[in-house]
Amino acid sequence: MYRKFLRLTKSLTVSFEKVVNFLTTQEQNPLYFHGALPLYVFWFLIFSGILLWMYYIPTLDRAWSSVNYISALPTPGDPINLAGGIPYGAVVRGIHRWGAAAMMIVTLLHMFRVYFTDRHRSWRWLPWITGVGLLLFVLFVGLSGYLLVWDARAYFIVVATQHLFDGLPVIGGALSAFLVGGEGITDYTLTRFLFFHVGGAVTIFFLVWMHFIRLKEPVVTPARATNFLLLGFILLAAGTLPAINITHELLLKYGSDPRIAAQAAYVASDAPAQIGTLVETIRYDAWYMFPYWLIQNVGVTWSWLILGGSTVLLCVAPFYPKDRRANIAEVIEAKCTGCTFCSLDCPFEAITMVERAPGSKFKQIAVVQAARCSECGICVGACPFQAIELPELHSKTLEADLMALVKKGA
Amino acid sequence: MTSGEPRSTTPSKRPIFGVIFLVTGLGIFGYFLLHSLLTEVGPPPGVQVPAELRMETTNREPFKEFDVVKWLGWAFVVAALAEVGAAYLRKQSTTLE
Repeated sequence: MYRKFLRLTKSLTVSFEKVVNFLTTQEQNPLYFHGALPLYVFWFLIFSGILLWMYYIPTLDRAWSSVNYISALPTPGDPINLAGGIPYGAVVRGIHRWGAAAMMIVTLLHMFRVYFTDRHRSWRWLPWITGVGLLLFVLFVGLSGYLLVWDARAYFIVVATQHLFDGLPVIGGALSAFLVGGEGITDYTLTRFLFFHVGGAVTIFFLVWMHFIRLKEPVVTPARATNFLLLGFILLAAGTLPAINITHELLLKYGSDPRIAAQAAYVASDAPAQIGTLVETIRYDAWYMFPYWLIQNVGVTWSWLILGGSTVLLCVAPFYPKDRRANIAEVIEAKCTGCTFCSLDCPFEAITMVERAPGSKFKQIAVVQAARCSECGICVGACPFQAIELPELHSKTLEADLMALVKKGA
Repeated sequence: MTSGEPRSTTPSKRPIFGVIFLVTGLGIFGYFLLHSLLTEVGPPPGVQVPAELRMETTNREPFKEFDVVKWLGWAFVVAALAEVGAAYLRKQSTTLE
């Protein structure tokens, strides 16, 4: 049943990609670069984030105003912000904000494409599991970014997260204290949030390395049309709805301007956080704040069950259903000269070269690591000595079949 | 490969678009960085700005910045469509008879 489902999703995905191929040609089809897309968007986030970091002050009384200084529009009557913030500051912040949304969208696109084409199971378990870790870290880093603004919404997130942690037995209290850097909210809290945000981003790099470790040639750059389109969309979003803090003065001056109203509805941050005062309504961002939507709508226990359950399901996905692994490549010891061709050609780093015993005719021998072998047969084609074979698809048989077909055709 | 043997390598094509893309990106990044650094010389957040400095910088119109970024965005969308168009024109049939 589940196998049938995977087969169905695979054929549907491939059919959909054929339609996109017709529209964009095969070489520019963005769906063929789904893995490179999150990495590409990540660069925007890194560069815009570095610029924002220059001005960020992680203290309770300055965090909001420092973010506001980066991106504020001129506010009449405000001696600090008469001229507005840094030129293009709202745009850079907008790129960071919209880049974060794009990051989650392309990460999910990548995940669903891999899952629907059944490329997550068996020997691919490591990229999948590290991918689940990457998804969680993207969520974590995105959420911690919301905290840095230290507006009313950030305070709501902190309180709700502590509420979520308090629902956990034994470690709940410790996690809660770890989140805010002590027993209560102090200046250390903002320093901790900055650490979460930047440290999380660095951890993403480490996980990406693990994600790639078993792939010989991972695609890390999307096709040019996709690059342009994604960059264009992020710039259009940042220019149309730049990320700003909505202040009373701003609303007074531009209140009738539909652009300000649109910003207030989408990406604008709220008024500064006031500890002890929770706002009544929170604007949820669909890509990062869904856990908090859950907490408000189904309660803490169900939120844990849903979030934890989905993570567990994602983690066991590559191990079920188990395939019959009858065609793992086998090295014929007597024929192997240790030339390394198979090892170099294997796309999954499944063949390693090992020293032979002293006195042997050849120095090295290829060894197949069964758990990594995809049974693709590339090594069979790479070997000039017929020293590596798939047990149920012998190269001699394949050759004979092909010759028979050729003769039939002639 | 020994030096006496004939070489069969062909020089790779210079990635002109890639270079333009990179240089433009670095240019924009540098421009933002420069602006940021220059602003740093100006008023830091939370500090009272002297009146004469305030007068110099009050005529900024932020929405114009957003318009420039939107034009850039549209330019990239058009460039993407041009890329797809070019790929279409260069497309070769791979159907086997």
